[in-house]
Amino acid sequence: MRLWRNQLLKNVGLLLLTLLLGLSACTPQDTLRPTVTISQPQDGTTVNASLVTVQGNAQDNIRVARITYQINGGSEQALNITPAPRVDFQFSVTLQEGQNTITVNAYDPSGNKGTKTVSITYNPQAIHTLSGTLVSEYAGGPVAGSTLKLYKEGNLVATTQSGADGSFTFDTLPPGVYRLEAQKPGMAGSALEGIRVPEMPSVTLIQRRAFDTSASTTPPTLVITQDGTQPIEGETFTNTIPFRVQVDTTKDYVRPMRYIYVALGRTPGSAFVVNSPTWTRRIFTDTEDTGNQSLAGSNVAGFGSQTGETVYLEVVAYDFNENRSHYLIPITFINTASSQNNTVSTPTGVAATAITLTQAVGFYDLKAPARLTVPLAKGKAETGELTLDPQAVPAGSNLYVEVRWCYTATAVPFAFDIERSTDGTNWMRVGTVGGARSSSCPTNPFNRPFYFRDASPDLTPGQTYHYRVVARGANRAESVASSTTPLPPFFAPLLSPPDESTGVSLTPDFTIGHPQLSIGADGAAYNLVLWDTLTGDSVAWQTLAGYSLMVEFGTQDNGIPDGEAVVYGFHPGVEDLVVFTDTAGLLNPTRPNVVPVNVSQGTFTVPYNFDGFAQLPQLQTLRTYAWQLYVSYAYKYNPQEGYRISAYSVQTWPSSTSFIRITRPGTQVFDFTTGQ
Amino acid sequence: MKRYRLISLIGLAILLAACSQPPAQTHQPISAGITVTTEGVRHFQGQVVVGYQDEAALQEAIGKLGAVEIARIPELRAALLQVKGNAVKASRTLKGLPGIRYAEPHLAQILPPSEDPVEQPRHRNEALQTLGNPSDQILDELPQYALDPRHLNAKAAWDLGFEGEGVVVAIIDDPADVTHPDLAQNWAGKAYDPVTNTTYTDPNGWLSFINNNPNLSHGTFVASAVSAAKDGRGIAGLAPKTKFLPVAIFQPNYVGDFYVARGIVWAVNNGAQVLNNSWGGLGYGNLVKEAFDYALANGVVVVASAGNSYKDEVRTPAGYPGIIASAAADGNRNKTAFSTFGRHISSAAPGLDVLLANPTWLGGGYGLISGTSFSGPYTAAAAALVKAACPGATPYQVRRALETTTWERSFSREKGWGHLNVGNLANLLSQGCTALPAPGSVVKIKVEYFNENGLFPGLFADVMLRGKGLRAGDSTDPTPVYWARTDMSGEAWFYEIAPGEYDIYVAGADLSLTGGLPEERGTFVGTLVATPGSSPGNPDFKLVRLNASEVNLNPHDPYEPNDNLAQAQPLTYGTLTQLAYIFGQPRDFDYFAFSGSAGDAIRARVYAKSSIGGTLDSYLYLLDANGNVLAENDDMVPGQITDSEISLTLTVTGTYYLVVTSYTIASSPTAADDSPFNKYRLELTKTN
Repeated sequence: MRLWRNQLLKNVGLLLLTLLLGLSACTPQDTLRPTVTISQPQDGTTVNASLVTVQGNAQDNIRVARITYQINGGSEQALNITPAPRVDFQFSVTLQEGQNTITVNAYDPSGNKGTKTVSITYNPQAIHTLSGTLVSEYAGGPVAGSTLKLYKEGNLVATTQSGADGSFTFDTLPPGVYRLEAQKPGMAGSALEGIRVPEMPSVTLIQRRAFDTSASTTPPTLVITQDGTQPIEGETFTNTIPFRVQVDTTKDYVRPMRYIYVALGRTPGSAFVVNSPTWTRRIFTDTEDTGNQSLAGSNVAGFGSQTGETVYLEVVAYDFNENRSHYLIPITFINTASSQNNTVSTPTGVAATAITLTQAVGFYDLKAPARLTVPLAKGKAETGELTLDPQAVPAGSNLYVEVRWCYTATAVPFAFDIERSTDGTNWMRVGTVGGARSSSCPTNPFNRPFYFRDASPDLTPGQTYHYRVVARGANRAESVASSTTPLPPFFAPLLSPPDESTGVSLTPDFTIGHPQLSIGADGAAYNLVLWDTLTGDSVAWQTLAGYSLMVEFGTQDNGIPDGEAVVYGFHPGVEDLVVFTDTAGLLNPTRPNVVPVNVSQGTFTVPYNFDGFAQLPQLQTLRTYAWQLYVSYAYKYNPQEGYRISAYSVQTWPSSTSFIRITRPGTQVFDFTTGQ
Repeated sequence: MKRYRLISLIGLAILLAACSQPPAQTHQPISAGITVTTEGVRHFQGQVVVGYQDEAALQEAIGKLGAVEIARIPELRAALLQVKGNAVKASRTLKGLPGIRYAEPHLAQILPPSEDPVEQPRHRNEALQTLGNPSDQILDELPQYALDPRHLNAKAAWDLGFEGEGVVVAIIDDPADVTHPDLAQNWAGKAYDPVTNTTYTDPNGWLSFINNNPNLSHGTFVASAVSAAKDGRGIAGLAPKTKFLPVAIFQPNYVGDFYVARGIVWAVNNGAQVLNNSWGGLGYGNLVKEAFDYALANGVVVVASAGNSYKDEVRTPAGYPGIIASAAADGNRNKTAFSTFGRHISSAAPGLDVLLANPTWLGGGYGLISGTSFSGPYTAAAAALVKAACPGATPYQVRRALETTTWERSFSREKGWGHLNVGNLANLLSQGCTALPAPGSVVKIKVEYFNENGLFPGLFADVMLRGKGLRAGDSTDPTPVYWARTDMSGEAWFYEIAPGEYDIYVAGADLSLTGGLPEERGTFVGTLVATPGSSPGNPDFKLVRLNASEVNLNPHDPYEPNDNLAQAQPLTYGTLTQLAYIFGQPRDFDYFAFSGSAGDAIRARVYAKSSIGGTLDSYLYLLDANGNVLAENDDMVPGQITDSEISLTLTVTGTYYLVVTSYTIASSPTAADDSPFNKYRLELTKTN
């Protein structure tokens, strides 16, 4: 045993000795290569100047002894450096037109070589910029942090991310046709195919929430032809455009398809946002093949010319997961409509009214917004390409401007161009619809016969916009402008009695937050409903029997002094306007205070049955009731246009036929139980 | 001032009255009647529903109204009567009869699905195949995200053998297509039209009843969510071996509460263990509540869609005690924007763009459709899986089995206890029926009114059970609240509710029905313990006595008969009559006579609804000795004080008559207004 142990020790000693020897033998043997990083220019980029500055660094575990570079595989050119474990380098090279490779080599003292190559395209024409906005829906809020990939001829040429306002920019782009794709976790995929640079300096991309985040986010691939075989792009058509859209079922997408939209001259989508009485788009539901179809009549009204002009056919498709494909296809369109020869007059009664919807509609389909009512015709119109403006629509809400007008002259215009300006001087076209005439011109702007809904993603609350309508025929006739200043989203919270409270008075005071001043509005309209449906089956009270109660705290434009307030409404019992509260005695020197206000706190209080319309003079003991704002919207006057209301911010609105013509039924409901 | 002139036309535009729906006319030959809205109550014209104690009481009611009996539900002791006049008023009249448990107009507050915009189906003709769809969404042939392992997780349950075999689910809806290729094999073999009380057993007969009506499709979509066969074709229901039992309560318009109640009873009596109700509205209705109580008392699970109102609110029947209320979820298991929500929600299930069967008379195949109408039947199907495994499970146990096996297993008002996961449910069921959650409670509250006149049944009372420790306004607090109303025997039932301690609030007769004064409504606040396992036969019981005015449904008018000049009761200056009533006949005129001298300035004043409560909007005439009208008055202050008053200086000495009636009667020669709450007093004074 002892002997065995000594032997073992001896063997261990030998082993240790061997190891020591081995280590000392390795020390001078450096086989690690230097690493090279080129920070500038990035691989795959295109530049529009021949002289390029190359920046980067080389690192080595010992030290970088030498650095060289090569252009297009040519001979190595040495850089003047000071050897060190890390060496930053910068040098300039002159590129040849077309694709170039720049290789940087780094050597350590042992002769190990590290290398890095980037490909750079020098294109003197790559001087263009493509910018755009990514939004969640028509008239919707921005999508931030989405990855945007730009392809040209199937090759990825640039990648960026959308900013907080949904904006993005690509620069140094050579002319060409591009495809833009957006991807973001939780969102469906979106692709825009056929972007022409530099003809389209700015684009809008819609990226919706994925229906099911676990499903594919590949947008459907479309085959767009005249009839299944004949190509459509670049062709010339007169008055009628035949088309057929098929989903390429060999490519990835999520079945079933939801919608395929086809339109001329603007991006098709939800009828409510894009339709106009004189212009329509086509929609195909739940199909992978539209069959042979055509655009004609109201689909093409206002576009083309007698000699032919380039117009884009636009096709938008959504699959089941809300993945969206949008194709832009240039064609030459000849429109022989004789109205192009008419000498036209100016449109009249132009009124621009901004509508902010606190709860986003989810524009485009039937179910989310309940029923959308388009009063005059079907069709659609989207906005042209507009320059960017940060802020845009607050997320989760919608903002659009409804421009309505009349045209009563006899000569029918070929088209109406809708133009917008922020300074009243420089105008840009936001859309075109077909021309028409109507002898009626109602007083209520919302009932005027012609309209266009501008859902540009850059519309910003607080910014004033001017709109005008230009009738086009043989001449251009510009209307007087109308202006609007959109409001931010409005939400008047229920305060008291609080939800599920007990022991509430039989004649409760209903206190409601009134953030009119904080959103820059001149007033708000409300209708309060008290349901008795938990053990009863009726409405216990609806204020003013359904008419709105107007609450106005003093602002510059409503003529009420700062800190003062007026509350009024139409009282169907007396069949007249009644001023319930007038803190300054402006309209009623007795300064009534039937509906008390607290201007500094931003609240008002509706005493039970103040109008005499409650079913019972007081509520019943120990009974549960539910109260809600059945109507709630803020409004802003336009003093320059006769104190017309030119902006609404709608929290809740129950009717799809009047006023804004969209129901926004969601509203806070508080229940409470009365005391003994 | 100029600013105020601008008060926009729009702002002033009158809104749709929240309380009433426009009368919907129907021209269907199978119609249940024409709906009208009177006093804010949408109901079937001329139809009254009566709950009776016995045959004699019913016959007396029929005689009193001169009504014709249209139909009857013996199990609920309820009858539907056709009357000539206004059903709202007629139902009030009937309340005067002893032995009548309740009387209400035949309510039609429920909107048919065709008027519910969320439920637009979108139809597909061609077959679908998978592509970008995950392969686990193919359970039968077409992609069904709703059933995949990230949503309802159907296959996990089916693989464990839980497919709903042996359970019948009633589809209380518009008539479901029993011939659709994906449904035919799972039809229970019977289908019911409650209006004509016809049970169809032949598919062709049922189809001819449906008559290719393009407005009928909802029930077929709903039925397929539950029972579509797993046969390699089309889609599968969540409980693909259940049988479905169609009950047609939309034809296509709502047939009314009475026929719904009859349909519910029929379904229970014909073997349904689960009732699916993809419909709802606002307001409490005794008859339907009683019908669901009948189902619950028989161990039948009742599922109802929460509603598509976007709001945190209680709709019926989803809000009735013991009913499982379902919210609709989207593809990411979040609540859909449109889904109604609230403290009463049990759970959520897919209700956005679900792929379901389209009726053959509309081209067949399948369509995408959205609404809580479809989360409901998925929930009913999950309940059927439980009932198939454990037929003895009580409705409350079934509810808790679903609630405790969701994805989230935590409560929110948006989705109740969470999004259903029948894979988890199957794991629970695999442990045997003894592993099911504990049973719930059945609570019966009996209300009585006592006062100096004695003890009376506590009818029309509100009863509220509010769980102890409820955190008001806390959206994650699951503590329940239940509401019920007593019937004409003064009982309020709470079937299959959560056991536990409750605050109980009871208040006497509904003043909006009786027209009583606020102080006549007695109140009670106390506590109640609902014990697990209490049952319909042995409920947790509480007797509540309120010191309250009784609801006198048959008041005595000391001046009757005084219905004409000859019967006029004498009156002198300075007299205030006792309480009298415009009651006892459809058109009651009460005559009083007095002697006046030329030059007397008199004032005759009726004290009615505006001053002493009740329901009488009075109308007063002053007649001369020959019965000619000298003066008349409706309202002292139009629109505000509806009591009547006449002031006049007499020009001739002689006999005069004062005639009191109701505005309703005075305003139309055919209108009736006959209510035990039409009370008044008449005062005559000489003012000079």
